[in-house]
Amino acid sequence: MNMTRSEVLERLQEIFDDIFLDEVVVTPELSAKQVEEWDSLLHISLVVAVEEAFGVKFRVGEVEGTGNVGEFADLILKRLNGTNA
Amino acid sequence: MRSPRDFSFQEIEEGSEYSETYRIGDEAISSLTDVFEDRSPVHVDEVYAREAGFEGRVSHGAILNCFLSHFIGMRFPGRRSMLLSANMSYRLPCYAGDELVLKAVVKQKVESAGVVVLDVRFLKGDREELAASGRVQVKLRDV
Repeated sequence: MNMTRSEVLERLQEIFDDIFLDEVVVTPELSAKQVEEWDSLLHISLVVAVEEAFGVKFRVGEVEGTGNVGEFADLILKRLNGTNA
Repeated sequence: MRSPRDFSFQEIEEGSEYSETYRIGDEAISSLTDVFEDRSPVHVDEVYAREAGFEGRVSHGAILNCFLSHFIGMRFPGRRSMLLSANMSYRLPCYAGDELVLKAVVKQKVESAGVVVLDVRFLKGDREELAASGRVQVKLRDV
């Protein structure tokens, strides 16, 4: 799957729309601290949905190591491009 | 009384299928009615239910969720399970005495979260009609 960073962010917006009850506008700078609803359980649902939507797998602690949605999108791109680093 | 089974995250494979048979007993319907006081006439009034087009008193959909809870905690994955979500759709009315087979297929393993996603179906009677279906997220503890 060849995607650009902005296409990944667009797809993430769709996933956020499905998961969050309140409207959350996805930007590269957005982080969990800025969204009250984004707790540990919702984070799990987010990871489950992202793995399914993009057909990727993350390693333990990898997603939690990202500081914001932009870094998360970069991680998704790495997996889509088959990069394990 | 059977003990809960004990599947670890590592033991579970995507695509594997597990099942269990349940029967909706009168006592389940009456207990749920008494405890939660859901006395909607479709559940408690035989005449009303038939006039509404059903074969008899319709069991509460929550009973299927109770079976699902039993399945997750006792059969698969068992004792390490923590149910995170269960999104169910109820397709057919069920009645006291109905026998249902719950079939669960492991759709997704999420290693980074220690979560398995199951697609579940309740199949009714010999014809295995789809009575309910849904998707469930279960987190597995290490111990």
